[in-house]
Amino acid sequence: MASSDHFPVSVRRRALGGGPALFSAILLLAIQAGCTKTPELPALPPIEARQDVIEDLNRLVPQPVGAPIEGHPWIAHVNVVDLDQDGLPDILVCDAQHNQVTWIRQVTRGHFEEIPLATDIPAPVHVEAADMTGSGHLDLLVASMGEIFPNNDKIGSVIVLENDGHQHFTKHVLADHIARVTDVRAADFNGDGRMDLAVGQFGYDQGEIRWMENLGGWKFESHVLLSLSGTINVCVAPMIDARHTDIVAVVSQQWQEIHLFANDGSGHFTDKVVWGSTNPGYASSGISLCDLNRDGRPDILYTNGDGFGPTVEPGPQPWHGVQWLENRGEGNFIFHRIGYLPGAYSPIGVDLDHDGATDVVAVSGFNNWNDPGAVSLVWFRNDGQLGFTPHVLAYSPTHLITVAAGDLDGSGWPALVTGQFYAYLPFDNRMSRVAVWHPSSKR
Amino acid sequence: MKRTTLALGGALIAAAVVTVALHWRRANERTQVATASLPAPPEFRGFPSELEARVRQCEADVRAGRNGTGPLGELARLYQANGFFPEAAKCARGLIALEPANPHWPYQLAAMSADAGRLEDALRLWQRAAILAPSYLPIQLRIGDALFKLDRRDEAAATYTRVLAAEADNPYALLGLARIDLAAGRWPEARQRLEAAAAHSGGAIGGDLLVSVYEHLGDTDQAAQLRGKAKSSGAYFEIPDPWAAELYAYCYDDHRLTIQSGLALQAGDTQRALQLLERALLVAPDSMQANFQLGLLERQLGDNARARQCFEACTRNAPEFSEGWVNLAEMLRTQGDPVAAERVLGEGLLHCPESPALHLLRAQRLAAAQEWDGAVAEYQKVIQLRPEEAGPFLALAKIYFTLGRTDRAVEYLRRSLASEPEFPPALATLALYSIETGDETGARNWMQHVREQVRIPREQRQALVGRYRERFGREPW
Repeated sequence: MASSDHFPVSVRRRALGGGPALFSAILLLAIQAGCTKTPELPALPPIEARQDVIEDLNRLVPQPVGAPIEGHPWIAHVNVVDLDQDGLPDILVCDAQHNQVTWIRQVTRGHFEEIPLATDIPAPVHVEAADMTGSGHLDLLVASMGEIFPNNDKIGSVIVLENDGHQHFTKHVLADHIARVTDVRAADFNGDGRMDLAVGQFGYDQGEIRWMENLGGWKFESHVLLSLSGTINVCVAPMIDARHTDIVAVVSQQWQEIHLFANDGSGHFTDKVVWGSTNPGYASSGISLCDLNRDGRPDILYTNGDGFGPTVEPGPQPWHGVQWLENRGEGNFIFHRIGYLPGAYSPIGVDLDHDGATDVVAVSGFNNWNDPGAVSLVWFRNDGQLGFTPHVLAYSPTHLITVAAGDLDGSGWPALVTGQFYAYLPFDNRMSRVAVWHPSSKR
Repeated sequence: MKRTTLALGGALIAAAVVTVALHWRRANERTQVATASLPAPPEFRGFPSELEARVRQCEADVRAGRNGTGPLGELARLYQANGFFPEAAKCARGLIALEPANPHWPYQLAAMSADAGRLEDALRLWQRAAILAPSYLPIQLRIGDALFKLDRRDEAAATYTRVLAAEADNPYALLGLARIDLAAGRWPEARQRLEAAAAHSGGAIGGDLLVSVYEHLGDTDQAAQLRGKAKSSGAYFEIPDPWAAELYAYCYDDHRLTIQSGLALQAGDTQRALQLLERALLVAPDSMQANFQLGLLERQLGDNARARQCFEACTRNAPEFSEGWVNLAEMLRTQGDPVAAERVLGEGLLHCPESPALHLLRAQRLAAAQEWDGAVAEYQKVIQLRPEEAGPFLALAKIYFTLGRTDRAVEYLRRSLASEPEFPPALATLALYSIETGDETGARNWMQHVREQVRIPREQRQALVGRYRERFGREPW
């Protein structure tokens, strides 16, 4: 017991082996509890907040124009152009079911008649007007897919309808037996004074983007810029340097990218992916260019809402919507979400309320049309600070995949023109082939 | 000694009290963080009530501090799986704060950030998840893809290379590297990688790009061979991703579930496709899409009884959906009950009088019974309703050939080409017809199309060339 200086062995054991250890443990826990940082929410930007949607069904008044409805129309594209240059804007139409490009001529203010311009173009899906020959007359550039629904055969063609000045057109097939063509635009890419072409080819499993160098005498030489399937639109504008026209393209299928082909002014292009989604089902559906923030540089308006997928009926996805890519110069772009729009297609920039700020309008091609609350025409109103509020302009007609804008009545107020593409059920009475949407009030 | 013991005891009690208090405070703070991460509940219009009930229960559990982060995690998953991304993202942000070592939360939030167009945010989150779960390859692949899309190709290449170090034949990493090669104009290198990617994915990954590469490198035979396999393949399937797949156990949206099922089927995962459809029918028993898709799948798997149930459900719940009737009638016919098949066909036409598919079925029946007038009328109706399809034109051509009215037959063959410009059976038949009628100019023209249409089987093409040679004594091209 001599060694039992202070504590009995048992107590000591507890004291040495238990007491201080327990004390230390409690102290440790206390320290740990005291020192553990309060969890903080990470500094991550929130995902798009839900927007309040305004119903604005009386803002525009629809007027059906052109030929009457037969069956289930497949209007793949509409464009507003004063084709005969009589001061009255007209409407160009790609009717993919009847394989024709038509001209809905505004004969007198508010009166329209539809005239077929070409009746043997397999699945025309995009038409643009451009003076290809320097004649002062507007020729038509037509993208022909060959067949609308999935087909990987080389059945696409690039067609120009040459205008004799009296709206009689001569057809020039500039390229055929190529992957299905979805867009054709004209610009002088190499500075030789001749209008060249930018061509988007969706194909299906294989596709391309090419530019076609105009050699004169309706001879063109193709230069392939990209070998990917899924291009929907190619747009042309000086995106970097005001002296050179570049090409911007949206590529869908599994790629889901926006490419900028920067032109050095002599037709040498450098490809850059300026935005892309890692979601192969992102469903890109179209782009257009407009200077949304009025900084002198064209920005990219962009929709994703293509509804086709591995189901019997297409339908919306939570990521569908409308966005813009802000052009920051030097080929750099910043993505901004504008808003949710299920089945979104055909984004256009237009100052719909005449307040000096460019708004964005888009349509829905692939909404859930069994739901009467599914929207088909939406105006994203710009508050002037690039804040956008969705206004529902229409729930009906449904299945819209194309919209264009123009001052059809000369009032300075834009009207919209829409086209329906009835690709899937329900086929109900909410049908309309081509419609002009006039502003109901011009105040 | 007693005083020392007492002091020590007191200190222990004090320390315990402090510890409990601090832990309580910490738990309280965590509950506060979790509660602050609760989004305002959205509108659940169109969803089964069970979803809203689960959401409410989770919210209550979060507020009460019950079960740790479990309820907030469940809520995040419920929201994300049902397409409520802003709400899911808010929960996920809270979870990242509360469970900083759990890779699932940054991974989930990354996917939503990417879908909201914020690829740089997504990349940062994926990189965070990758540190926490370095062996989960889908994260690395998504990082590689994000870097590529952000035009950071060197970093993307390094990432894909790391994936290949872990899994030498990963087709997605090979595809990523091939795309970088293509962007740099390194076609032979791209070819090598794409061939490997296609070989390890049954042709689904990289096979499409490979055709363009073959064509660019002048290997037209290889390209034609691949192109000839299908009118349209669309074989690509998404990166297999068990973490993302788990989410669908929380999904109450039958449309999203059927889409996922279709994607699983594309990827060859029949079992998962079935599970997803079963869930779709659990949450929406009357779902036309889910019933129809399950019917097709069960028929493919040989469970005709189940398939029939599904198609019957389609016709009952969505009588205006013609494909339900078509498939039910087809099933009954193949099961040896032509009377019932005919009855279903008639019933379907009553509900869907303008259905091209039902009229086509009737046309086929009549043609099989050699009731030519009726068959012709039905095929013409199909053409009127669906002029974009080449098949009915061909069927009419066959009938007219049978009836000896070759002029009409040829007319319909030509018309089929307006619907599908390089329709293989029409090209081959027109070529043969021109050869047999001694029209060498016509034959030469059609043979040129035959030569270029890679979907016409080689043997058939050779037979046509042989026949041309016999008839005209020279080669067609």
